Amino acid sequence: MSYQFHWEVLLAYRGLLMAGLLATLRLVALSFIASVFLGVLTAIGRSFPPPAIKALFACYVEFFRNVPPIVQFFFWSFAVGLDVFPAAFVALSVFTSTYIAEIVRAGIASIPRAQTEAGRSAGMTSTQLIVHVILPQALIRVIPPLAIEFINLVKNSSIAMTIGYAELTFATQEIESETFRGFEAATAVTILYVLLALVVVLATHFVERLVRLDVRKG
Amino acid sequence: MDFGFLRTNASYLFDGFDMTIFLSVTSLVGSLVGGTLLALLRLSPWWWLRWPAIAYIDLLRMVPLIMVIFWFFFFLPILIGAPVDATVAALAALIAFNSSYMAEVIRAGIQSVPRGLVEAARCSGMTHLQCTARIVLPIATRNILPALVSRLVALVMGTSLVYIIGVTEFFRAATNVDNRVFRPYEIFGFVALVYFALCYSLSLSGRFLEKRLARGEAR
Repeated sequence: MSYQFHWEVLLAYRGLLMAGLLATLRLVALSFIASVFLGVLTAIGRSFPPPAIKALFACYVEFFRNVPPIVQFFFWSFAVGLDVFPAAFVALSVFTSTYIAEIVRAGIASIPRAQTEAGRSAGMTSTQLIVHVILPQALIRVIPPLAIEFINLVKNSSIAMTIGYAELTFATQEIESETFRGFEAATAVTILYVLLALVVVLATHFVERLVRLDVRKG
Repeated sequence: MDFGFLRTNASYLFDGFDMTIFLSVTSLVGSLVGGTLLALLRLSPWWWLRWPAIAYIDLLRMVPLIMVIFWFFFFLPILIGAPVDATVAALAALIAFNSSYMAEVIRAGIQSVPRGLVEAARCSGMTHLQCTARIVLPIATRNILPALVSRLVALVMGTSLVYIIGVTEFFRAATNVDNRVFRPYEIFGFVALVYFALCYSLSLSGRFLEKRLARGEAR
């Protein structure tokens, strides 16, 4: 191996790396909120309404989770003509929401039938039942798989570079093309992704504890 | 709507599709072999085999596929001191990446085999290797077939990302056509439909297998 390492480029380009990290975080945070919202809505749509409406939501899920994300990014960006950030945001949110919908649907299905019956006999309407009885319990149960989906979202956000969004992976290519120090840049970015994933794992344990304690206290 | 480009670029797009299938099949076979090996190392009783496998699996599962593709494209040549074809780099990246996911699926399968079966096999005089090859792996395979199929769908979707290092698979071919004829709605809609047909039929066959296997279990 005749490659000379020059780790000092990382210092020279730390601004670019930081900007990339922040851009990744911004995209991920906004898309996560949107995809949880869409996902929960879809899960409700697949669990409670009459069959025809259920089928509609099923089509949404099956279509958008079986088309590669890069195709969706290109579609929103080049066919629909959205700006770079909105295109990345819509593509990521829609793709991730299909996975979250399936997770939440499983969570809803895991709530025992007796609870619905109890709620009904206490005179609750369907909306009350879903909002006050089923969803709170279902959402707590799905926190661990949601965290995995969050990590997947972080990873998929790297695809936004292909439509020109200057996030973390984009910074690697920028440094590589300006200094030919791709190895050092890729190492730094890889470490940042690993750290992000570790933070998510730790945060999940913390949140899960907090929420479960809260529930036990009533 | 003008789908004329489909007729004039049919053979070009078909070559791209061919490449997508080639990348999918080759990296599926490669990552099944790699994943099985990693899973066995991961379950090894010796820490000096187990720890490197854990580190490899967990590291690759935390990094985006695009990064892995970059790694192989830029650093395989440095590592081996000779230029590397983009297709080779793409295949190496896809296999390295998917092996780590396959390893976790296969490990779950191996651990789902009841301990009693293994003990019975060992008691009847099978060696550790014989027991692994004839008892554990066949039963594990049956248990994880549905999970493997959903990994396969992710693997097929992942091949579209080698676009970034210039391998002309289906998605790259389609964007190249778009650059010439500029019909983004029709082209990306068409690409989405083709991938959907491919991946959804795989998902469906996975569900079908799941049902079939569940029936076998009950008998």
